[in-house]
Amino acid sequence: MFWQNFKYNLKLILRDRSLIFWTLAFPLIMALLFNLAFSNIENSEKFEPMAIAVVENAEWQKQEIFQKAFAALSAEGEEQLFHTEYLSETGAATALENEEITAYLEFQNGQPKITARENGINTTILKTVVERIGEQSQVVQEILRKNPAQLGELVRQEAPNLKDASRPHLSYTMVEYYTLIAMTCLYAGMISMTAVNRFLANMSLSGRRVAVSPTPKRWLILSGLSASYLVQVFGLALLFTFTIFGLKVDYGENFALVLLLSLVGCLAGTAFGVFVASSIRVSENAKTGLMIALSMFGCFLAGMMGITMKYVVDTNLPLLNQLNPANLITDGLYALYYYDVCERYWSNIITLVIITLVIICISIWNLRKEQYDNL
Amino acid sequence: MTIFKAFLQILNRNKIILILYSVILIFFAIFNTQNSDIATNFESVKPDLHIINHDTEQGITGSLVKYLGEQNNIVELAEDAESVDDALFYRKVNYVVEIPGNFRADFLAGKNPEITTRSTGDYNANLAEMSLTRYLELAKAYRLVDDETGMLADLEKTLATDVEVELARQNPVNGLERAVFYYNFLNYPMLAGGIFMICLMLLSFREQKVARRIMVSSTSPARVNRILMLANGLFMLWLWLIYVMVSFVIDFHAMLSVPGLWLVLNSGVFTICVTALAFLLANLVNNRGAMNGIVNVVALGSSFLCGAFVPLEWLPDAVRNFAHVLPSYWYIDANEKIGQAEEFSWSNLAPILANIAVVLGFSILFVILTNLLKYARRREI
Repeated sequence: MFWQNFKYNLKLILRDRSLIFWTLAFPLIMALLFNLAFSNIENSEKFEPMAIAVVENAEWQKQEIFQKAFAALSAEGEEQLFHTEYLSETGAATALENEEITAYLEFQNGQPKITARENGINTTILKTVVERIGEQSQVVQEILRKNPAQLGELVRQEAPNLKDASRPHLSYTMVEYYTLIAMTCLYAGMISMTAVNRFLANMSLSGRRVAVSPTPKRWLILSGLSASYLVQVFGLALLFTFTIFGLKVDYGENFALVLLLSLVGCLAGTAFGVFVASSIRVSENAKTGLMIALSMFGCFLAGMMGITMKYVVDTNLPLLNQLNPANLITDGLYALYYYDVCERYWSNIITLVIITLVIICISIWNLRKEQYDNL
Repeated sequence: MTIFKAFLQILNRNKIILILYSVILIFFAIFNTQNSDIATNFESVKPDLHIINHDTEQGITGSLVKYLGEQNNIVELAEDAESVDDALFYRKVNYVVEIPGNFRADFLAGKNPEITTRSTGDYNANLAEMSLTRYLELAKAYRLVDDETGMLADLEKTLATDVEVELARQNPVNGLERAVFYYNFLNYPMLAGGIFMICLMLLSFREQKVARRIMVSSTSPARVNRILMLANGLFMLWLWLIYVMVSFVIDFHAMLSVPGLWLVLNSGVFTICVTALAFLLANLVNNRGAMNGIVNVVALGSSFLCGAFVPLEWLPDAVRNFAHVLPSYWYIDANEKIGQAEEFSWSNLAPILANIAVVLGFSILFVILTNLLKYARRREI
């Protein structure tokens, strides 16, 4: 009986093209759009040597320290800061006007002066570098004045002892894809809701026929939900395949745990659909609208429309995100990517399981109390 | 009038969708942090920095913390390591400096104490690191010839040197950044809301039973089409006017300027294009399920690929090149050009007008395609 109904439910789901579009195709389209739009954002933040000019006048010829420093900082290699052109004052001004350079440096009465196109990080970096080069001569003069014997020691100084303890995975655009996984998991609710609606006497004619049939309703609902879950897991598999092999999304080193979280997330989505179907007595369209609105709002809080939102909610309204299934899935994936396996991942998964169990219990209670004298 | 009333009923039944798109637009426009103040003087960029100091804030340690605070924007975070790591990942801070407990004593003893840093690896993080190494290198140099007091005095004197910076142009150019962001983002609600509504209207009137009843009624199909076009046109005009009014509420001064009015004009032409596109799509789809899918794919696709959500300059070259085949690209590019124009001379206006002409060209193309489709479809009824 179970397998027979499972097969029918699977056929019904696969024949519903609108449902298949939203649960299987839409996440893939979104992933592609995310990739096209976000793939360059982080590259644009990486430091690239900036184009500047130096006004090569008589004053510049006297600045030996600056000449050597700019030659070194413009030499090709990992430490390169500038692409430096040496131009006349008019040439530098024209290059700035034509946006060929960010700024130019010239010396007037022995003092450096920077002319920049606009405020910004590049101008600040150039200013800092010019100030640092200028400081060198001050330092040398001060040492010569106080203790010339230490001048040799100055040359032998070690660089400051900085230990870089940055974590290796810092790509914040990954969180956008994680919210997409969360959305796909929660969209399982759309399929399960449609499946349960078919068995509800107040929703359709087939529901009325089911209500008077001798077949135990638990088997019908269980077979419907199993088929829904299977279809959504297939959708998730498609999304993972596409994002990993097509878009090179990094899910960290523990893919088995990524899968575990996604399967639990899918279960939560399925349970969420049953909950909406069994608890709210409105039309099927209204239920679908509610499902999409709640899923999207959850994804919005989890950072789908901008990851800053997730951080703001996490730090200011932590309880809201700790009860938000979309965030629990996103945060679990983030924890695996950024922290490797940690307490945070397990805490997310346990909370998700508890929420799922609670809404399943409420849904069962709602479904069991359904009784009709007439329809 | 009967047809127009039916139109208004359908509009009323689906108003929630329009309100939802509008709320998203207003939400993003208000919370957009870009300000439109005109800066005429140079201001250093200050990276966001968090300091974890295990030493007492005295002597060299206190001076280092003070200097880092002057050069950077200090961000306070919760004490635990996870909060600091989260803040780095979500770019709440660009750089974290952890000063060890015995830093001052070790430094004064001539050692090179280890400072732990964490970085986002971007421009701001590099700048923050430059301020840290600059201080430490100078301090180590002066340590060779001074005691702590002398060293701090020399450091203060040297670090006070300031290089003059002159700005060649004001930044931002015309204080229109927030308005440009709003009008760029408008691409999404205009496409999603406009296409959704027009498709829904036309599909309702194209349902086979309704279409057959109209065919046998005394009202000619041409008149029905004229009324529907007028009603949809009025709806789009109403939608556009509401969005324009919202832009005036959000940034009144910017919108009242000449470039602000160019933004309004550009969005008006784009509204015509969206209306024409919606008519075309309504003639392409046959059911509401397909319509929902197409609306979302067209609206989200155009917005992602043409710079409505992510600025055009951040998009990969290939995506930008592809976006040229979509009207949204020319609309958003015109907005950007209006935002960057220093003065509205012919040389600045010509490329903006060219973009507007391309959008009008797309509108004409959509109208021609719609008429061809309609001609083919009339035979099916």
